[in-house]
Amino acid sequence: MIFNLLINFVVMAVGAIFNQLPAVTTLPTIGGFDIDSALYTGMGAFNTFTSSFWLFKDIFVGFLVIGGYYGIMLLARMLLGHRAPGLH
Amino acid sequence: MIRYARALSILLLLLLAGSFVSPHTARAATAPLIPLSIRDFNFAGTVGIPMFFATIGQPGVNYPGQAVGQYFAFPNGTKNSYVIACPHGDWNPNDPDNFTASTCWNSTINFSLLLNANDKAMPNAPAGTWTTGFYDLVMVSGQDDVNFYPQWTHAYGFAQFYLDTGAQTVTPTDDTRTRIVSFTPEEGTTTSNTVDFDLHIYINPDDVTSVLGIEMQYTNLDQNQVITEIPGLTNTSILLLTQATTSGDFYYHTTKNLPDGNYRVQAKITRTLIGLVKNPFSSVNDTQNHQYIVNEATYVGNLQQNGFREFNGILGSTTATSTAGSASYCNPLTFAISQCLGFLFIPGGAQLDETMASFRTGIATRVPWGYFYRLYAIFNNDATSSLPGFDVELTTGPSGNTSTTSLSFDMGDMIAGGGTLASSITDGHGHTLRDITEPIIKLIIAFSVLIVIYHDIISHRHNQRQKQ
Repeated sequence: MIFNLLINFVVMAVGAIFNQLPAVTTLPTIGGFDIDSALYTGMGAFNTFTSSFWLFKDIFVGFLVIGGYYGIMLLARMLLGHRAPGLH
Repeated sequence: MIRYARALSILLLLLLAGSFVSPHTARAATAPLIPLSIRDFNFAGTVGIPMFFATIGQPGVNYPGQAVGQYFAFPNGTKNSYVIACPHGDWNPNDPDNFTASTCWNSTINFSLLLNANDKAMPNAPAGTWTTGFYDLVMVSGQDDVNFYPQWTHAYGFAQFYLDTGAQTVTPTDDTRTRIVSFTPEEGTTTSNTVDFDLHIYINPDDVTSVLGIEMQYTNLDQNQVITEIPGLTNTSILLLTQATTSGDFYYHTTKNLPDGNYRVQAKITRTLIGLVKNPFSSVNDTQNHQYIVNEATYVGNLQQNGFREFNGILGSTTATSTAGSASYCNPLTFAISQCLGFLFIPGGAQLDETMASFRTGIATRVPWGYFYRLYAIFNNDATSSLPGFDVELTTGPSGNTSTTSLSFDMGDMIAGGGTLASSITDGHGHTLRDITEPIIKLIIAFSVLIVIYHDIISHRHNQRQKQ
């Protein structure tokens, strides 16, 4: 209950500030190429494919996990610079 | 002497034997009466068609020649009872005037009493006696429709109901306290900009002798209330502030045009001592809140309502599975340390879900990180779309021949067909290829992912040592 209230308070306080920023509903269109529609349709087709061949879904999830790891490392490198883990 | 003794013994034996064939025993043997108990004395029906409902007797038991009972209704606070159904037994279970009944003998007896839908009078009741207010309802069962009164089993059923004005509304209640009966807008509703505020309070005659304050107000939750509720900084408007002077029902209605946003309406009754000094120990004091939305909610307003529900879950609700039920673990009298700590520190519940939803709409979807969140949402989406098909032109015949034929490939059909084919492979025991291989493949993928990450971390350390 205490955590619920704390989280609610933090979300309320932070949200009151960032709520003023514009909301992102779709990815941008660059040079006439609609990235959002392309990715959305592509993922839909991939889901159709993996609904029959489930093996590729698991492989894809594995790649996402690895990609997430490298993303976190990249973010740490951006934020911490040379103090990032493994970059001394 | 012996003769006298024998004669005395025979006389005693005769007296003893005679006691076993008493008239009482003979009656019991010929006409046993089975107790006719009253069970489940309740209310049923819908608004406009109120019904009283009772279950008498036991399933599978015969009650030949026995009456069922009577209803008595007592206007609250009086001793004038009105027999409103089934006077003096002789009950016909199929009598449409008074009762609706299901089966009679050899099963549970169910019967209901309907209010007259036209004049709000109950069957067999003196005309004009049924006015708005609380009533006690008593039902008594009997055993003999001929000798009715002497055979009462003294089985009673008690209930109370509230007869409302206007429509034929009977509200089952056991509550004759001074209380807030209802008020609108209702909790969790979304209204138009024209908002109807209604308040219905019942005031017990015993409570009107002292000063009783009635208050209704609404608050806009979208501004100035992020941190504090200091009066003057809040957008609270008082709709009603008065004192009750008569007992019975108190009604209030007003209409306001409000701008879009999140609101809270509060109804309050308070026992006051002198002037505006409140008696904090009075059981009459009651404050209730409803939160509602006018047209469209706002981010801050949603969080305000969410936080308020969090507190109200602790203080207001009393159901066993509610937050209040969990909070009872922290009560010194019912203290349980593990549950109490869990209640205090483990996040969860519907409120947390609402907070997370607010986090998504208010923070996660905003520029610039909103692009990453959108990317995540696309990757996490389970929606499917049809696969593109394509045509292939093939030249037929020997070289130089210009005749062609076209082949169309439907990738959706091909994939689905391939999937069906793969799924149809079984081991003879009903296990498909997927059932057998999926756990192994998932394990291999998980290990592969871990090895890649582990190798990356180790290589960083290795490079670090080499630099040193």
